[in-house]
Amino acid sequence: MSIIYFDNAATSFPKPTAVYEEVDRCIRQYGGNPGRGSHPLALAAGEKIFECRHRLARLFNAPSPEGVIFTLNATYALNFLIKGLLRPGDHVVISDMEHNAVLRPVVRCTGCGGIEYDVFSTMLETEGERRLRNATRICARIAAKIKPNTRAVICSHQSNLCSATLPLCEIGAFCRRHHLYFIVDASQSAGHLPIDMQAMSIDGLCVPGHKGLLGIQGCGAAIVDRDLHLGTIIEGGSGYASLDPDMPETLPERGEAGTLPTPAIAGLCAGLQYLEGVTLEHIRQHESALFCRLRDRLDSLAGYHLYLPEFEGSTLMFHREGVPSEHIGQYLSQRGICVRTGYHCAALGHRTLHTPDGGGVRVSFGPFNRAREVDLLYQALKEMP
Amino acid sequence: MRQRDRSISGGMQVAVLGSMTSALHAREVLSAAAVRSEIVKSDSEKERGCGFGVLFAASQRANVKAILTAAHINVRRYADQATWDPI
Repeated sequence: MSIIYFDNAATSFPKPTAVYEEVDRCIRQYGGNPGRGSHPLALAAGEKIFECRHRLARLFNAPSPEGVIFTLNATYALNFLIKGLLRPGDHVVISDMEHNAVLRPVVRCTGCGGIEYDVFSTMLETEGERRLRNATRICARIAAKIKPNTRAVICSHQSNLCSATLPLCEIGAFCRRHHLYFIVDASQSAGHLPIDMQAMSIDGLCVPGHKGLLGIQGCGAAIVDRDLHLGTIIEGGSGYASLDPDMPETLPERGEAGTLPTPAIAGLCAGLQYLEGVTLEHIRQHESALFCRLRDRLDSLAGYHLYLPEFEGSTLMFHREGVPSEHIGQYLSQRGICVRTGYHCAALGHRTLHTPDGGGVRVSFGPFNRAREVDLLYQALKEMP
Repeated sequence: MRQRDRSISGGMQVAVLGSMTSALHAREVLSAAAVRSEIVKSDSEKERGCGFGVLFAASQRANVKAILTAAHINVRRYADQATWDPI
């Protein structure tokens, strides 16, 4: 059975050939421990990691490569920034579309860290709001939640449930005006949409390496200004100042205790190089075209409800009246079509979208999907009893 | 894989930096300014444990200092390569 993969929001598949090749080359040819020794293999591994820091900094217009802190994944990066930045007594504001990777660390901080949080709505609530630009409306909602002790606004760029995005430029400018840190979860937008940390006034950007950036699983990054002071959430070897019992103050090593996953970072580096060649704009257009193709076909089927279909992008979620999403997922799986069903680790977003019990069916596109695959998905859904 | 630059010899100094990341950054900006350097592991006893620096020709000292300062690379100190004594 051939496989049609529409679960790129969970992890992208397949990867560019260059990614597989670079991971293999890393393990076989330069698999030293980076930042530890000064022998040729350690140095070569360190050089590859530094190249990857550079590519990430360039892609997101980060202030410097030293501000690129490698982590296990975006969840770890978010935990690091949230727990490393917030202090007892602080208040934070998050959106109502957040993934558990934001919600759970924030809730954890409220439980034992003396932190308060509020949630701002991203949805239209009154008819009068239709006259407001989306960005104006969102910033007004955030402003309504701000308190004297508010320290940060934390939100995702693009939902992991649908292609709805938040206006980062305007939220970032708002945060600057109010002296708030602005932390962005770019798990679904990195590699799909342009992100400019400096133009968008982003203080901390969290990205996974294995989704839109096309690397393999095993690394992500928290990207910050290198002068930002962050507490640590894990301590250990850093490759230098070994006699000091505390973690070094300087980034990125302060946030990188223990050996880095060099093969995953090497793969990410190749993924980034691939994106530089293909360009984000090309990928965005390609995925939007697939989105529109599926949306327009599903619109013609009775009983299907699409969530925020006006936001065209890499992810489309739907449910079929009276049919649990798990049944649809299982039916498609038997035909070799991979989608993700349920709550997608984002109960907050599902509540906001008012999905039925059991959640929805998420179809998420990547650069290697083809229009013919969309047609086969549509055909399968059309034939579903 | 980059090989150690054997052509650097004579009176040598080290800019003692700290992490490998700092050392790679320093080597990169020096290279962009046509100053040859290579990464060395610093003297563990004198640097509170492991660390890295960049080795360069002593004749380039003023140039190196200006380049690294302009790039906001924090140099802990400059040392003689042979003795690791501060210069």
